[in-house]
Order: sequence, then C-alpha cells, then structure tokens
Amino acid sequence: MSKEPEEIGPGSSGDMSFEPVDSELVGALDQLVDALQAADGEARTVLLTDRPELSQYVECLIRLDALFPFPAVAETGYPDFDSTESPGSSQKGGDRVGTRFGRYELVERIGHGAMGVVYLARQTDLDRNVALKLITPGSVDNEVDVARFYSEARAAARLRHPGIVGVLEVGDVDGQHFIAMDYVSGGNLSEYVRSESLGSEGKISHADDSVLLLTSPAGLWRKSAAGGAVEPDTVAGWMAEISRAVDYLHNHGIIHRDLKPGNILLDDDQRPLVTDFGLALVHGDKATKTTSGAIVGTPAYMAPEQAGGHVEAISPRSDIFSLGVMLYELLTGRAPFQVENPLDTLVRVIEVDPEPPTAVQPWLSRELEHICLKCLEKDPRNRYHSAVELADDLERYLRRENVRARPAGVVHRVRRWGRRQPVLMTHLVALGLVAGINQLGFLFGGDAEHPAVHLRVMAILAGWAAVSGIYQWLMKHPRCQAAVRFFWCATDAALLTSVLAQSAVPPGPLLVGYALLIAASGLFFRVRLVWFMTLSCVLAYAALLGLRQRLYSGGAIDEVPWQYPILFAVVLAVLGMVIAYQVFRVRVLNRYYRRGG
Amino acid sequence: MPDSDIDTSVLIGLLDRARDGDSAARDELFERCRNYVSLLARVHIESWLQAKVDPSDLVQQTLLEAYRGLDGFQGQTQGEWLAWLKQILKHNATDYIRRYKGTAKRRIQREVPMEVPRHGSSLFRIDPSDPGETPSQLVIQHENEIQLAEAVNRLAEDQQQVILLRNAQRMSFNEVAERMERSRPAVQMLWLRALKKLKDLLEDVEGA
Repeated sequence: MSKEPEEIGPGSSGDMSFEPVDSELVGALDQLVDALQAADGEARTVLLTDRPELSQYVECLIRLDALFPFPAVAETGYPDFDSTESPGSSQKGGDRVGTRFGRYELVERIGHGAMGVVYLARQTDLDRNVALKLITPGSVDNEVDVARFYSEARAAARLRHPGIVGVLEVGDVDGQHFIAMDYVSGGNLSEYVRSESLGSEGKISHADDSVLLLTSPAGLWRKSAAGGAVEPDTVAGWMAEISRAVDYLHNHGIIHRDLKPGNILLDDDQRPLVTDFGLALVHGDKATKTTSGAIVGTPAYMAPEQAGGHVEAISPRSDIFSLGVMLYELLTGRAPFQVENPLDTLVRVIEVDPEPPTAVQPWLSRELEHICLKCLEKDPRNRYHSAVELADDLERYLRRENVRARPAGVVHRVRRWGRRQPVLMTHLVALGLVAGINQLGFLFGGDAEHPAVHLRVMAILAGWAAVSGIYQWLMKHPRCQAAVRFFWCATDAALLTSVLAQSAVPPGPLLVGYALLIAASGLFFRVRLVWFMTLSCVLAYAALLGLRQRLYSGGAIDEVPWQYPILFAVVLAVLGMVIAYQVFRVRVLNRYYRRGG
Repeated sequence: MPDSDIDTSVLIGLLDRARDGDSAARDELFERCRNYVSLLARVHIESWLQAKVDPSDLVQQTLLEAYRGLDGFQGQTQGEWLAWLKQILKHNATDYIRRYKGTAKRRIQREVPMEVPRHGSSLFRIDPSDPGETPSQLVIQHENEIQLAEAVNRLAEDQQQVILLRNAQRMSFNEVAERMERSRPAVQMLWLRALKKLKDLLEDVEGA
C-alpha cells in the first residue's frame, strides 16, 4: 500500500507508476481546484471533510489561485479582442448569459449535463427560442470524436416524432461545438418527482410549488400547489407516450442508454418529450476510452447488462429496463436501486431485485406492478421485447383491460425474494446445508455425537437462522442499517463459536468457518466492517479455546502444539487484511467512477 | 511567518534605498522581482496565445518601465509594490498580445494605436480605486506572492508548465494533456508531483 510512488525523472512519462491511490488523490485535488476557482465553499468543505489529507495542499492552491487571477484577466484585460480569439479555457467557468453565440443570443442557463451547459437561447434570424447545448471543451476533443459527434447529431437531427425533442442544428462557432434543440418550457420530470434516496425516507424537498410526489412515511400521494396530482393513471399515460417515443428511436437504430427523469422534458400541456438521445453513444465511447472502462449512464437507471459493462450486450431492452426504473420511481416516489454511493447502486442494479411496488404503495394496482417488474427483469429476454409492447400494455391498463405482463411463477418469486435479501438468503442456505449434513452425520455416523449435544447444535443453528431473519428485517430501516451490519457480524462470530464449542472432538477443519465469515463480510464493501469482523473472529476464536479448555477439562481433547492457535489467529488477521485491502481497492475505483460518471 | 517578514523588509528596504537614489539597491530590487514578473508574463501570454512563447521581451519592457517609473510609485508595502508591477505588466501584455496577434494574422487593419506608456503617467501610479480588486484584499494576497513565484521557478520545466496550464490557465486535464503531448495520466501524475514539490518548497521557505 505504498502512498509515495518512486520519484521518476521529470521528462519521463508517469504512466507506469500511476497507482489507484495517486489517481484518487489527483482526482480529489482536481475537484478541490475547481471548487476553489469557482469559489464554491461548500464543495470545498465537503472535499476536505471527506479527505483530510487534502488540507495540506489547500494553502498552496489558494495562493496559486491568488497569484493567477485568471478570470480578471479574461474579463477586463483585453477588451479590444473579439470573443473569437478568447481561449477555450475562458469558457470553462464563466457564465455566458447575455452574450451572443453565432446566430443565437444566450438568454438563460437552464441546465447542465454530462457534455455541457444548456442555455435558453434566442435564435435571432428566425426569432424563436431554442435550447442550446454548448459542448464542454474536452468532451469531444479529437478529430475522430468530433466526426462521430457530428454523425450522431446529424442522425438525431433527422428524427421527428411528437414524443422527442427535435434537434435543430449542430455546428461550431469558433471551435465551440453546440447543438440547438427545440426549447421545451415545462422543465424535466425529475423536477416533478423528488424521489428520496433510501437514506432519507420521507424527507420533503421543495424545488418549487409543483412538488407532486414524494416518499413520505405514510406514502401518500401529495397534491401540488397547482392542484394537479401524479396518479398512477397519469404515470401510465406518460410512460406509454415515452415508450412510444423510445420505440421510434429504436426503430431508427438509436439506443438511448441514458433514460432517466432528467432526460424527459414536459411541455406546456404536460406531455413528456424524450431528449438527449443518440449522443450518449458518442459520449459513451469517448468516456470508455479516457477513463479506462468507466460505465456510461446514470447508475440508478441503468440496465444490469449496462451496469456490468457488457457493452456488446446493450440492446433496446436495456432502455426498457430504464423505462421500468422510471415507471417504478414515478409510481412509488422512490428509485428502486438508488442508494447513496454509486458502487452500491450498481451492485443493486446487477444483483438485487427491488421491493415490489405494492410493498411501497400498498394500494397500487397489481397490473401496473406486473408491468413494472417485467421491465425490471435482470435477464433482458424476460423483459418486454420492444418498447411498443410496453406502451401497449400500459394502455391496456389505462383501458382497464387485462395486461399481458403476468405475475411471476412461484420459483421465480422465490428467486426474486432471495435476490432482494442476499445476506439473509446466504445465511439460510448455508445454515440449512450445515444442519442437513449434521443431521445425516448424526443418523448414520454411529456414536459420534451425544443426542443432547446434537440437539443443542441444531437449536443454535435454528436460532441463528431466526436472528438472521430479524436482522434482515431491521436492515429495511435505513437508519439502523449501518449498526445492524456490525451486530450481524458480531452475532455470526459468536454463534459460530458456540456451535464449535459443542463439538466433542477437536473442531479442527471446521475452524475454517471463521475465515468464511471474514471473507463474506467483504461483500458489504466496507473496510471497517471487514476489520470489525476480523477482530470479532480472532476474539471469538480465543474465547473458543478458553471455552473448550473449561468444558473439556485440561484441554487434553484439543492437543495441538502451542503455536498452532497463534498461527491460526495470525492467518485470520492476514486474511482480514487481504479482504480489507480488496475492498479498499474497489472503493478507490468506485470513487474514481463517481467522478468520471 | 517570520521569514516572510524579513523578506518583506528586504524588498522594502531595497525600495527605500532605491528611492533615495542608491542605484545598486535599485538593480537588486528589480533582479529580485524578475522571476516573479516573468512567471506572470508567461501566464498572460500563454493563456492568450495558447502557445509557448518566450516572454523575455515583455519582462524586459515591464521591468524597464517600472524602473523608470519608480518615482511615481508611492506604496509602502511589498504587496503594493507587487500589485504595481502586476499592473504595469498587464498593460504591457495587452499591447504585446495585440502586436503579436496583428503580425501573426497579418491583419493590419486590426492594428490599433498602442497606448505608449508615458513615464510618470497616471497609468502607472498605483490606483487604489482599481476596479479589479479591492486594495486591502489585493495587498494581503500579494504579500507572499514573490516566495510562491520563486518556488514555482524552482520546479522542473515540465512541472512549471503543468502548474501554469492547470492552475493558472485553468485548463482541464484533457486540454493539458493535449498541449503537453502526453497522456492524461502522465500529466496528472506530473501535476501531483509538482504540487507536492511546491508545497514542500513553500514549507521549507516559511518553516525555516
């Protein structure tokens, strides 16, 4: 875990020694510079709290900033030059509202996306409003990318459908690439739906007066100040229209790949329009090139095959999954996979099945739930075959006809249930296997075990399963999640010890159970939890030795060389270290991803 | 920061002696400011011309004008002194860039009359009402700039370059990588090293 890479000559390339630790530090410093230059005190505080080691650089960075007051130079320094000769970098942070851009006049900044800033602009020659996206310098910056950007944008410009935001023009003004699109006045869908992450259930955020749908503890539909309400029928209507628009895109060979409420605009009549299509692909290829395999899209809305980085597996059905996520979110007010950190979100997208919508909103129609869950199938083959099928099914629901989506079979439902609570499932399967084998051993193994001992072991196993169930139930409450994880770990170690203590013969190979627990704790992706589990196991093992000494008087029963137990404890500690380091690495990549994404 | 106080008093001492007509002090004062001015000159020029240009002409011109205009300078602190130098540099840089662009693009019609700085003109008196920055902020900020500039000057050439591009010109790493014709990870690594070095240099100066 070297923090300091070898010093190499200033002229040589640093590629070889570019370790994750450093890349993370660079990323954080980079953000810090941005925060300082934008005078964003909040971002600065967050960064410094997150990574205290940055503070040693702060003074140096602030002083560099003071030494080079760049914006002052750019704005007031050279009034005689027309804007075409200003460097690209001056556009980076500056607000350009009120300035001219080619045939456009920038009126208001209305959004900010992965590729650039979106302005409401006035096209002076045709006297109309457009949404103008100015591509951030750097997101398309070599000839191949530029060529691809144009070919994709032109393809998008050929598309016309009432459910999509039309692309009017693409081009560049003095090297600044832009896309002009229809201006849609009503804002985007995510502004209407303030879904809260699982971490802050019931918190209400008011972006404006039209907060329509929120997760409140009671799960009530909320009315907006304007008097409207997003009811399941409205949602179904919207989603049907969106699905038809997406189907139109699919028929023209475009997979959106980043469908999310933020990319759905609402016009004055509250009709949804899909935007930002066809560009994700360009941007996607670019991003995979530069940030070494970063996944493109928004984790919480991605299909599993997309989240897993299987680029070749991405198909129109990946968009259907994203539509399902939106449907779920609109119906329940909660994004099904969204948790605070993108890595956990990705893991959930790939592995975990969401709570059924009716578990969140009990009075929701079962039919809608079936439609929603069919979109959210992990295996693309089990989803709707096309977006138009989804649209048809939603309209069937609206006409109160029978929908095509069927409730899942029993096997499938059990599997879904298991995937929803993987930790409990693992416990139950493992405990079941152990109990079964133990039972067989008792029945056919001769006089190996005393019946009373056997009964005790089985009772502990049953209790263990019950406790696991309780913990899983507690995990549903976001507030106690973190604490429950620690308790669960400690309980596992303690119960394993109590089982092993019962054994009449030296538990020998069964001690591998401790190693298993440590390894399994790594699946939570929390370094501290791994350390905690390791410590618990070492202590539990010490307790086990003590117990056995006492129970079997004098320890004749566990006759091993004195250093063996110490070696075993050391092995456990090293194992914990290895797992913790793996988790640490994954988290580093995760942070890198969060930045890149 | 006791050392910077000493530094300050050195510069101010030189300045006072120079005002009294001590030409050796005058030379030393400008010699000590040369690195500072040339670093800033590089930033000015490179951020506008997007190319690596030798700024020595600009530095020379600036120091010369400051030298000649020394009598017009009325400030008492190092911060004011540096701010004054910066202002002269800024005006010269405008002319320099204008001239450079004019010849580079062969667009004579864009050649605007140069504001030839006159000795002792109001242009070069420190103007406390300079709209760009408030004077008090400016003075505090500028107080230790000369050490920082010295420290930057002591970095390896490519480390200086990456600091200038990222921190001064505020380019993204993609742009920096393109400019320096290296891979993005390589320039990031270089930047990290440069920052570490710079931090250490500053700590050495101020902690000593």
